[in-house]
Amino acid sequence: MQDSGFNPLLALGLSLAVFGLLSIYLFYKTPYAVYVYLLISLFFTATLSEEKRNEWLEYCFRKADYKKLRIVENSLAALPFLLFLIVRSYFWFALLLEILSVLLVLLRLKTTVHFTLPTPFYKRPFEFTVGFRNTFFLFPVAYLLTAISIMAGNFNLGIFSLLLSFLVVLTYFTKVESENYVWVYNLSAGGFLWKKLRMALLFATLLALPIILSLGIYFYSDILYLLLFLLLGYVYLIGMVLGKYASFPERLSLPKSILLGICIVFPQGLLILVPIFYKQSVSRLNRLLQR
Amino acid sequence: MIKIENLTKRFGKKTVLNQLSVAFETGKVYGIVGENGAGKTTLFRCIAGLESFDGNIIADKLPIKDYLGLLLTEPFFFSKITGKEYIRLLCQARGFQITDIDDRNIFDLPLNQYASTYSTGMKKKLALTAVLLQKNEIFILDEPFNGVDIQSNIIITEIIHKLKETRKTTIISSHIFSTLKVTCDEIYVLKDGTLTRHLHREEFTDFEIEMKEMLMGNKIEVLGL
Repeated sequence: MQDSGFNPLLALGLSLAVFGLLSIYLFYKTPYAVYVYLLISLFFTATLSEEKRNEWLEYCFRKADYKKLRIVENSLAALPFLLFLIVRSYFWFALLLEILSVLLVLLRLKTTVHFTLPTPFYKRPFEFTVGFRNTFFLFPVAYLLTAISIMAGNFNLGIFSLLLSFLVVLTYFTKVESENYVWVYNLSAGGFLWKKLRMALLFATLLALPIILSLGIYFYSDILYLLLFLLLGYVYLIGMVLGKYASFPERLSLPKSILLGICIVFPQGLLILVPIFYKQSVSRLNRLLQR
Repeated sequence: MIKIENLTKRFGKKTVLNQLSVAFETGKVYGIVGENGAGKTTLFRCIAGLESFDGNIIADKLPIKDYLGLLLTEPFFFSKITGKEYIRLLCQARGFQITDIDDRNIFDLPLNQYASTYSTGMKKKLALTAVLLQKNEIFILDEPFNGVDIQSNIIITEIIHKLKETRKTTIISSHIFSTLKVTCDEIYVLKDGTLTRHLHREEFTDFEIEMKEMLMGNKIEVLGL
């Protein structure tokens, strides 16, 4: 905490103040607050019952010491809740909370649930595979906005939904891979970039296809604007992919990010930026992909 | 064959590899031993083309990287990529599609699980599987036995024997000398950026004894066990 520039005592004081205020708010808002409160407290305390953590503690301490330690831990975790219940004169609930917190010592929670989110891009790792798994929930939002735009006859909202889907895809190229993920390709720098661009454009189109088709059909008269914004999305995506490799293996540098940011307002700037980024990308990648 | 001539690598003022010359013949297994920081990984990175250097590295087929399977000490995995997707990525990078990944899962890895959730040993085994399925001619295995269980240790040893049988060139670094003893044809000792010893199979045992005596002395006795 000190490394992050926080004074631990100040942070503790602030946390307790926020906890107190949220507790007061909860009890003010609902008559069932005491039950919710109990559940919240037990939920937090239960996180201390994580299996691997407890195995480690059992390994480090004698059995009796381990039990004592866990009872103290759980009691401390429940303490703020307990005190608040006492202040509010919920004595029986306070007692129940303490008993349940101590009983939680016997619980072992397996937190290592291995769930793999399916993705349509699994055959072409990794940008869209990883990116889609991180942002999949944003696409239904974009599609919903498209539907609303059609129902409300609002083309601008439809364009916004299209740009949103492209914006999400742009984030897939903010993560810099390890050098080996580039080195492993038996392609030239140009070939590598072309492969990445082809994939980016194809998969971005697939993700935006429901939006493009819906808007194209329902706002047929505005199709030229739609295509214009689509083109803008493509050029921006190309700029992003090339911008990433123009800084490789470093992250997209601040000046390059600013230049890309300026191009949101002046898209014409991309016509200059894209060739520059391409040249820089080839030069950066040549070190790893020289043929 | 890989021929290295007068390889020098500097990081700033520090010379990590100094005028190093060596030849690795096709179909042989080579071991590189040396203390931490001796320059083993840097040597491997230079051969792979991941580092710039002074000197020459010549091979039968160029660029070496197109035929080279590089197993890193600590392979990197993205947080949400499965074992199978990782293997697919590495094979696609070499320009071919792989379909029967499950049948080739020799280490019985949970390939549909995110690779980042794997243990150290499992990550190593996944990276090794991917490198093997890439159809490489040359293999550089940096600490292949690190963190893997006893069964996998045996499998990896057998894999290295198989690589030799199939005339692949293999270079291994390991801190576990016993594994090098059973897998390598020749061992080089890397010290302060230069190869100080070149040992053939018949010299391995003597070298091990020599190393033990040199490193241990009476260090154990002072414990008074």
